[in-house]
Amino acid sequence: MTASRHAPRSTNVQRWQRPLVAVGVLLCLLTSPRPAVGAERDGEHAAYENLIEVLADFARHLRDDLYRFPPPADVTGGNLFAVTLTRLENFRTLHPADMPDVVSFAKAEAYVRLGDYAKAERAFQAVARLDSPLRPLAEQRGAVIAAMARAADLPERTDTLESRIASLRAKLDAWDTLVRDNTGETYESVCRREEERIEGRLLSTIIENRAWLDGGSDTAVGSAAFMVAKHSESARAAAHALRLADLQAALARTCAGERTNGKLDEAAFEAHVAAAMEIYARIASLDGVPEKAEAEGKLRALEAYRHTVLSDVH
Amino acid sequence: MSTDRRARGRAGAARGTGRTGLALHRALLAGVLGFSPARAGYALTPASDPAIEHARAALVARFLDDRHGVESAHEAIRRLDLDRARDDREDTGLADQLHYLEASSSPSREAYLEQLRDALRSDPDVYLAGRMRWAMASDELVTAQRLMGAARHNRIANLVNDAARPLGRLTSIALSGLNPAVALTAALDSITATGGNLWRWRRPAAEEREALHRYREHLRRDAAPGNATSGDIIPPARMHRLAARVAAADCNRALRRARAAAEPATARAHLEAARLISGCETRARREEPPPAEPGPAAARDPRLRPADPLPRMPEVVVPTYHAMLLALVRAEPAAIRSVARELHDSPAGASLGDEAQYVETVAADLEGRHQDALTSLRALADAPSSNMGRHATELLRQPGTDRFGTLRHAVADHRRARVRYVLMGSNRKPLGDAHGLARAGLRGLQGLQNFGLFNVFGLVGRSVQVWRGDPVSNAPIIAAGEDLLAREPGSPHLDEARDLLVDAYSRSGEYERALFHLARMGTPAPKRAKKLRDRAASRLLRVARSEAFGPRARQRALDLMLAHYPDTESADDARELQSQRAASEPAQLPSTTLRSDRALAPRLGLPSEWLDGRGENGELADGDLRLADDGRLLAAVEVAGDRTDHSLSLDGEQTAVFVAAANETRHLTAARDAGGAPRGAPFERFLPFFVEAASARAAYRSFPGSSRALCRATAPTCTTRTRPPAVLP
Repeated sequence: MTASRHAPRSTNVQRWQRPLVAVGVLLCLLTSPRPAVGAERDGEHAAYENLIEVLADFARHLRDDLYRFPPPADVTGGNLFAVTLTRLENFRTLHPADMPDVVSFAKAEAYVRLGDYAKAERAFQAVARLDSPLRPLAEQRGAVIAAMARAADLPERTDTLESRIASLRAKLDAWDTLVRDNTGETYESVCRREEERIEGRLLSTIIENRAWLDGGSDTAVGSAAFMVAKHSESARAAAHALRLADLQAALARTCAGERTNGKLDEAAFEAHVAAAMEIYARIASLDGVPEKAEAEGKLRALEAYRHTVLSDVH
Repeated sequence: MSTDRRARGRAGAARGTGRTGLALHRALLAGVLGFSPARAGYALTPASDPAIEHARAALVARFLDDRHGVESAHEAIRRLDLDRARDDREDTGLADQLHYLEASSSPSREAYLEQLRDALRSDPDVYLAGRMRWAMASDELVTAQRLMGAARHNRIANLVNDAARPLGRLTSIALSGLNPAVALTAALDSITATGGNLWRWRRPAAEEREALHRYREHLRRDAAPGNATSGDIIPPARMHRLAARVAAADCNRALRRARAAAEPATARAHLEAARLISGCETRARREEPPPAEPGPAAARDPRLRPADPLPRMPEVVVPTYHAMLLALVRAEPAAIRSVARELHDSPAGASLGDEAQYVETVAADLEGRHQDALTSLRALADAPSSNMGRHATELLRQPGTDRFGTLRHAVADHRRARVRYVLMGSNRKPLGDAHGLARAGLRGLQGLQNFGLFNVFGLVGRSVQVWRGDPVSNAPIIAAGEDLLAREPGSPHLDEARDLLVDAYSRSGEYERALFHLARMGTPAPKRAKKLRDRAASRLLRVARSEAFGPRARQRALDLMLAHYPDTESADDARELQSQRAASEPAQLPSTTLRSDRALAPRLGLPSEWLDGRGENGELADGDLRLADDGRLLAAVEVAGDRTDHSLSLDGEQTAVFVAAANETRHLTAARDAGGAPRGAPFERFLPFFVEAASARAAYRSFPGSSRALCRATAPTCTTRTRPPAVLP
């Protein structure tokens, strides 16, 4: 006891400094990032560990409704299907003879969800040639994907406007048939997403060429409104609404640009502006959609534009 | 998997089971479950390694939606690991992965989360653990719960902080005994802040809006029959209450925007949007749509303005007056001046002297003599009782009349705003006299807290901010200056205007525009130009280094910097950064990967003695192998402690193998870094305390134990680091 009582005190930290040191350490502990656990994956089956991890995440999202929801994200934030495909290709390069049926089957499913149906069909055919338990499923899905690949391969002519619209309509009909055939099946959402994509392309063609079509503006507005109503459940519903609003804003600008003798058709101009503003305001009030910020900005821009045009007129 | 863990696994197996236990376990698995991959029907040609065979069987079963097959393969791998532990061999490392695969085939999200929790308890390696934590944290409901927890935490922290801060100031406590006003004002401040926070208590935070969105997404996603809505994680009633609060806030916001809209069309659009919000329809209908007329546009319509009466004049001057009007309509300065002079000199037209002088002013302006016109206009304005005097006064008030005066006023306003910011902490102009007085009074009361020190710390901090970066907008100065330069290229004040513009652009960080105007000034200013170039280069270098920008934007900033400012102080740093980037671009493969995957080195054509563990014949050095631009593989080899660099030629297949292995390593590292970090103590999240600091360029906020955010003025979003959620009971 005596020895300890008279033991020399620590000279590194004086008594008065101790509370300061304690506070400093506490602050450091509270605000510093947590140290990462240091462990590496270096076992003899490391490549298979990676493969199983990748395919576990992938398989969990195979049933996702890609029409109603955006594609799932990988742990790094990228599109899960694209990342899976890259990693499967890495595995195939590094271990070309290992698990060819599993790798090809997974690649085929990834290609389907990325919209590359021709490659998906080839990958399913590769599995169907192997002696694998996945063979029947690959044959069955390969047949469906072959029909999808044929629909995707239908030409989109660009020589004249009429032929382009006709070819897009033919393609849309083919996808519509596929949607009906696959209702309740694995690839229903993929077919619906593809149909929506083709419809969007057709709508873009009509909007871009509305000046050359009979009643082009009305047709474009009608088509865009139809798209909004038909795909209200889609993950891209807000984008469709935004496109309709953009179209109304563009028609308002056209209206302002086509003034004759300085006279503006104020009623038509105001109608287009009001329609666009209403949709922008509605999108701006939505939460959780990336189009919200865009709609807010466009609403302000259109308000300023309307002010400028009317100031010029009055 | 780490060697430590493998050792723990072996020790645990030996300690917990023993030889008898192992035999019993094997008998149970083989006999009772009766599983083998061949029986399950997924085996092809048996692989040389049974672990790979089981892994393949599990993957095949997973794609066939055969949950039982996945479970059986998982059990087989566990059994194999026990066998290997008995033989004192490392485990396969695949059991945790198969557990994860098994979890992925769970029929519901509740079962999935339960499986993940179960898998985490078996202490998987850091990569898989991170992936599992990420998977749990990215669940819609779990995220919603976390966000709502964060919102509640922030709300409580703000309430407590704002209530305690004024009372807890050191000077307040020390001086309250000397001056009761200190305690009084501190209490007043605390009560006011707390009242404000309580008033805003039910206003939904951004986190709560996000939580509601995720909850709704979850309901949409899991609407299939048989899927519970997980009332155990978030009670639905709570979300309904939140939805009502959000709808009420949205309704208020839409109606507020409708009332504040400058144009009736905008107001109507907001009212239409408000009608679609749940529970807002009645309120939106109650709001009277703003009348189309007489709005601001109608007020501007000249057709609605009353006509000015003609001035009274003697009959003899009517022809001269008429001629003057004709000259004005034709916009002929010489004719205007001549007729105006005639009118001015005639005795009968003495009553129209002001009109004649004003018309001469117009003629001078039409001739481009703006200064003469301005002088004349000011002379007219000196007689405010006459019609022309009032008109001249109004004209002088308009922004386009005296452009240099407008510029000087903008500069003076800016100076006042800076002083106001330093002294009062706000650069906003008071809304009116009453507001200005109230604000000054409040600041004065706050100053009393420091008993005459006038909040020295705040004053010094804001002075530094004004010195380092301008917190006040320079936009009015820039608008006025550019307007003067564009519309009056012959103005005698051009150099002065450019000088003011250089300062304004420099303060607002637009150094390129400042240099542009500096180069066009009459007198060269090399020192000032060098300073601006240094600042411009330094800013580009900051962008090039910042993680807040994407790689393309960073590289673009670096290229711009080296192209336009190669002679500045920052140029050397930029060149060094460029060389580092160039060096880090090629594909890289850590030497540890080659040591762990023994099959990789022969496929890349590396000599086997580089990896045989014997230093005397050369051993691959620690570090990365790189692929050079010419396709050669660069590797460092140590022989008896001496390090030498080697380069090897690779053929197409070897290059593909190298790139695939490098990509795989890079992805694994990225996934590990992005994955969830280990769980912390949950109570730390609820410390009602945060640290906050802000400058003109950046703001930092830390909720100790919960999250940190760094917001830069130059970055579109804040960089946030959040502690992983403590959601697992």
